[in-house]
Amino acid sequence: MTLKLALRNLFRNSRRTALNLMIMAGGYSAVVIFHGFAANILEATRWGAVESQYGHIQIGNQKLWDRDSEDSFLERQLKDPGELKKKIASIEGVRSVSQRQSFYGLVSTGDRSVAAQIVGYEPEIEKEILNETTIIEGESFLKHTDSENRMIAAVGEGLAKSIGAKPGQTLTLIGQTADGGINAIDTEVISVFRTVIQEIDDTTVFVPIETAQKLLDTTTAERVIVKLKEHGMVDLAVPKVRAVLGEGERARVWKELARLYNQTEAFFASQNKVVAAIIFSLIFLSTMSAVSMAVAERTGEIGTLRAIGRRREDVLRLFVMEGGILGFLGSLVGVVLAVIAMAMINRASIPIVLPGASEPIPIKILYVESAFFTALFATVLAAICASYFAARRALKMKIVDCLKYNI
Amino acid sequence: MAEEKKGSEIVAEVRDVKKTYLLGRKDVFALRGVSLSIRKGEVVALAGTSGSGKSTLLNLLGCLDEPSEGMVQVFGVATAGASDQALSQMRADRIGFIFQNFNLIPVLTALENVEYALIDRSMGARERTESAKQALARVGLGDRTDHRPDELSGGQRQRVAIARAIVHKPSLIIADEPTAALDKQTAGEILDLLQAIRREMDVTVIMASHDPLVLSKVDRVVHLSDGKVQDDAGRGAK
Repeated sequence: MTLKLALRNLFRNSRRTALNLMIMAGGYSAVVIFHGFAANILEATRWGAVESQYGHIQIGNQKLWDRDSEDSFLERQLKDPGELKKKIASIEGVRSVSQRQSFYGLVSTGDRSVAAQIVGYEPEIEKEILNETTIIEGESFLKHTDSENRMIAAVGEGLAKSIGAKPGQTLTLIGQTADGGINAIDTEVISVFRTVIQEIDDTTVFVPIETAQKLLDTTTAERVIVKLKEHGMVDLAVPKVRAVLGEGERARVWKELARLYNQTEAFFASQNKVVAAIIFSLIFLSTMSAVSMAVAERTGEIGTLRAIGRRREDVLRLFVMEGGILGFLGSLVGVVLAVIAMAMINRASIPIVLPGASEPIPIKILYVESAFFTALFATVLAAICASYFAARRALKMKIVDCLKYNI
Repeated sequence: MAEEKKGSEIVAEVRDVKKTYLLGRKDVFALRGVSLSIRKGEVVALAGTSGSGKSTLLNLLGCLDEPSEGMVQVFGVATAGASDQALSQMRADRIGFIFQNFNLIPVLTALENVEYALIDRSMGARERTESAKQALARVGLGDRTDHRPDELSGGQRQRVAIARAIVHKPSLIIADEPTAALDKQTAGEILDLLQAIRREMDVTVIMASHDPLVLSKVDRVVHLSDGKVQDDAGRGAK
């Protein structure tokens, strides 16, 4: 009966209720859309961090992670990366295991020389690093299958511009060998690439691992990169990987290494909270205003309900119920509004350049299920609290004073 | 038999009751020391001009307000200092209210308005609906159960209000100017209905009114003037 009364009261002033519903729905959908937008950026950042940079798990020598300048190059290396790869490859859920060697050196086209980060990796295994979407000129490493003799390089777009490197040109790589000498090798630039991270494009040269090992005159690797079949398997795989590690070898999870991702995640977490706080405050205030008006209009009715024996808390419950229903209906309309807006935004492919990115990416809003439920909870809660505070004030009035107002 | 009953039990009693309101910074005396006893089965009218204190006294007897000084006892319970919960319970269980402007909930039908008075009762929904239908039938509105207040005439609305007031079988009915918003013929019908209900249910009725028609149909008229009892006649002047 109280529910019936609450529902009918809501539609007494249908224009005001509709306006309030639209405010709630707008706020609800804004929160959900913003969460979906942030989730997409985070998802893209995570994908990039895992697939193009860190893998899910990295294994390196303990001294590599300690970064003690006293340690020699060889002390920071994995001595037998091949054997380690075999052991890890047999762990359930592992999609790929590869080795990498990265170091700073000089790159030169003859006319111009600059310092660069040279990354040696296994192109046959880590196909995601350079693929058809990242190569903007030239061709893939995978077209050069003679892994014993391939002296090839892929240069980041910004770096290529600064030294005038183009596919087909010779690029000399100069670095320090494992025993401290200086070595130089000539490679052929076979591609220019562009990732989503401008810093990589401005500073990095990718080469096959054998090329890097030849330059450094070593068979060791700096780290082994483990990628899993599913992202959610990280927590399960880490202990298994740690169990097969030898002395001095240590595994680290991608999130410990991915600084940009962590910064982005922290930024969006704060921003989501601020946006949600602003929007739910607006919902709170608009509901409070609507319920205050309803309470003022229904003062005589409050007096009547109290006179026929309803307690203060019964009447308060009625108004709170009305607020709760309003919040729930507002959220339902918000769901519809959000889904429509998401579909339209995703279809429109609006380009956006993210900080540090080298090219625009289309805005995409992910459907974050938890955001729908959290926003529903928060909208209903805001409406209930607003109704509570608006109605509580009115219920302090004496019954006889309330009855002076006509229904 | 009825006369014997009337003398046997005091339903409501006020002793040296004063009631003041603060109007701005000034105290306004609504009641200045009123004493009165109302016995079971009586139909009492509180009469007087506007501002005489009759509505204030009615509110005190209906447990809607508390005296500033003096004692008000309803069914043996002193209302001053009683908790809101206890007074609400008393109103819900033992008192029925009829208002000048009917005070029906506009979004509920006649049946729902009456049913709403039973909401706290430990009875099933079907039993509640049945009781409300019976109450509406008793006031002659058995065929108007699904009508909302704005679809009913003034007299019909007041009948719904009476049904709401009697549905929980109260011992006391408080009526504040029950005929003031009605034409003379309808007012007469409403008063006859109230008298009939009083006889059937053995209920005490206290009304505030200055309508001569009302005063002519009650057992006792208490005239108030300037917050004091001026006259407490055993019978209304017919």
